[in-house]
Amino acid sequence: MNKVGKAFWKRLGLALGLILVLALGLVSVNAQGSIPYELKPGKPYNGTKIKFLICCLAAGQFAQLSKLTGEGSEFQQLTGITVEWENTPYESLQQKILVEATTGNTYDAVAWVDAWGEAIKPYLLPLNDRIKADKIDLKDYPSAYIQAGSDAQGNIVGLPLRGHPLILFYRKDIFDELKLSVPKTWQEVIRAAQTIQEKKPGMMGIAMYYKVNAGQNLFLWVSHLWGNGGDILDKNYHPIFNDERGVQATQAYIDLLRKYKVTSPAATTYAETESSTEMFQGRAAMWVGWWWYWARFSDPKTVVPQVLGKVGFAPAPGWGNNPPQTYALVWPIGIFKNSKKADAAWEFIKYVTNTDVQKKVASNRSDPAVADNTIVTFSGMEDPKVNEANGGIPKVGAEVLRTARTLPLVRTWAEIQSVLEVGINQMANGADVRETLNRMAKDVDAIQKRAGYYK
Amino acid sequence: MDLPQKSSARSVGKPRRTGSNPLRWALLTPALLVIGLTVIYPLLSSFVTSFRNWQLINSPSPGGFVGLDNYTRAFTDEGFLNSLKVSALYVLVSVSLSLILGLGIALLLSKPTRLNTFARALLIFPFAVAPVLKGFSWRFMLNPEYGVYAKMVGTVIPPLKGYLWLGHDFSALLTLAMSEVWGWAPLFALMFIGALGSIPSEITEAARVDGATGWHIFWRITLPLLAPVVYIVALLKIISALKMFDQVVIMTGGGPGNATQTLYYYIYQLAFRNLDMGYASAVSYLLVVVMGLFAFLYVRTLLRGRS
Repeated sequence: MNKVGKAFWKRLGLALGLILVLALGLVSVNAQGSIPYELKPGKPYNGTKIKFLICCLAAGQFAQLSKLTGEGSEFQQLTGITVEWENTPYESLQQKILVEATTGNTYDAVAWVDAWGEAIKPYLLPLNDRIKADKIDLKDYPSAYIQAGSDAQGNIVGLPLRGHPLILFYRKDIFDELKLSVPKTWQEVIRAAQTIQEKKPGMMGIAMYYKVNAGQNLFLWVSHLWGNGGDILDKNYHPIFNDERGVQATQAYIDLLRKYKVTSPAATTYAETESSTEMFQGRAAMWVGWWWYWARFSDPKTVVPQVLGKVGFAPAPGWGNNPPQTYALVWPIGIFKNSKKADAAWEFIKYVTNTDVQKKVASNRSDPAVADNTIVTFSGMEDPKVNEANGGIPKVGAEVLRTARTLPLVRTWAEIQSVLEVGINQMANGADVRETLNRMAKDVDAIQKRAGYYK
Repeated sequence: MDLPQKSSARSVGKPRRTGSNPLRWALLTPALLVIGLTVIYPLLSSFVTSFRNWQLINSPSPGGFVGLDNYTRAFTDEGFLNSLKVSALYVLVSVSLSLILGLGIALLLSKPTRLNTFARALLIFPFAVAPVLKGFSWRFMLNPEYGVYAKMVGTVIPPLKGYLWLGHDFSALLTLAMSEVWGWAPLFALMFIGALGSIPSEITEAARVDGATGWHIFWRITLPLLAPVVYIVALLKIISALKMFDQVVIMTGGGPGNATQTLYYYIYQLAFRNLDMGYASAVSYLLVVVMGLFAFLYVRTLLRGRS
């Protein structure tokens, strides 16, 4: 072979080699590009260990997600990131988050209850740029959830991890027997409950809860208040829940117990748990609570046989002809500013809030102990598989969440909540509604002034 | 012969002077360090904080000094005044009931029969139950729909059928107190049984010979002789009652309204719910003053008894 021939074959070999390398590279990039859940290809955080501050691993959704992201999990295989879930008791989670936020650097990611948010948000990383870069569709989340995860400057510091709309659970068998239609308003709830109590002695119309217990007696009160066009604070953060609409709504909320007597007198000592037990044990025909209870109403270990399979659901009642406005509870998930592994933590957040991952969790009914219909995106709530697995409650939840609201985004919320829940319990125990609301408003006004919201 | 005897007496009766022994300090240092870091430092730090404006919702670090503002605020704060009243009432009810029931049980079980010995052994069990468990059990037992206590009381006293024990101001406080008395009264009974055993039987026998009735013997002899033990036990219970927290959280949440919001629970709310660290520290120190007074009386009585 002459020199020209050798050079030709050499160049051809080089060219083919280059093409091969390029092709392999392209295949590799393509393969990495197909990594699911919008995770970064190439495992850039391989070997990173992050710590996640959370509670309540008994909740089915959290239990399943911890398995999906724990040692040897799908998430670990996809990213090389190891996630350690720090399961803190609920009662001490808020304190632990605050201590970590203000002085610590142990944890990277954190999930919190919306009501605690304003005290924590200054210590969390804004996620706006990351959300934009990863093209996360915020419109797929209920606006109440996004608001609860945003700070005063409008930055998003938490994406929804777990959230709940309020649902009216009712006994289908009793409603069918008495030919009652499912109530859409609180006024209709009273009428239905009165009929049930009249025709079914011993059966309570609705199980309510007015006890002072971590603000739980506010859940249904705010639904009355907002439904009637009232509010807790005005746009300048002054209390306005004692105006005419507030008095009317609060009176209606208390009248369920004291005037119409369609709930147990013991409701003044009941929180969410005790009142739901009334429904589980077949002593009440209706109950308004979070949608995750659906899994419990379908669990033979939780409900008595005469209730199993007979509980229907509908959107939580509204007020008259006004569009219903109920409280949507959410657990946002964010990253501590102190975290040195924020990028890896973001991969984790993307994964656990991803619709496909959430759909996988919500449609898994293989183990009743961890079955959980909770899902945070509208597309997930509308998904046929998710609805099939959960009797259609996700779709109903989506309907509620389109008009649902979050609690006032003020730093003083915890203190305000204490005033409100104590006042509500006092009114449930017979205190005058208008007088008590005025006193509560005065106390809230003092709190707002002390915190510097106004002079 | 005298000299060795004196020396021997000194070595037995008086401790050796070891003030300059470095080993003593070396052995004490770890314990002192732990006490310093876990008791002395937090006490001093919270004392300083009680004079500062520090709301955790506004700043992660303490704000400026505000003098006595946090302390003066307490005396115009309805929440504090209410919790002070609740705590005082709770102490009064729980201490008196524990003492009366404890003494009653002790008198019933003071004779050393087999059955009494067995019953005495059982007495310690309620005290061994964790406060949180007590709270859950009592809440459950008092539920008007399915609670066993509620049913029992309703059967024996029909007007109380369906009564909301945790739904009315005084009965909620009484119920909280009873959940504590249930644990403490048997313990006191054991203490009183011990004290009753130390009363010389000759005294009561002599009184009986002189024609004294059982009632007279109790009021004129037994109770006066038991007085030092009752005093010590009462002080101990007062200090414990001032710290009432667990059952409030579990059983009432401070309700109805704020009728069972004890001082301890109120401080918890201020610090860990409202995140008002400066004010919470000041209120804590006000409680420390009250508890310190009772602790002083308790220690003084113990030391007097020893001397």
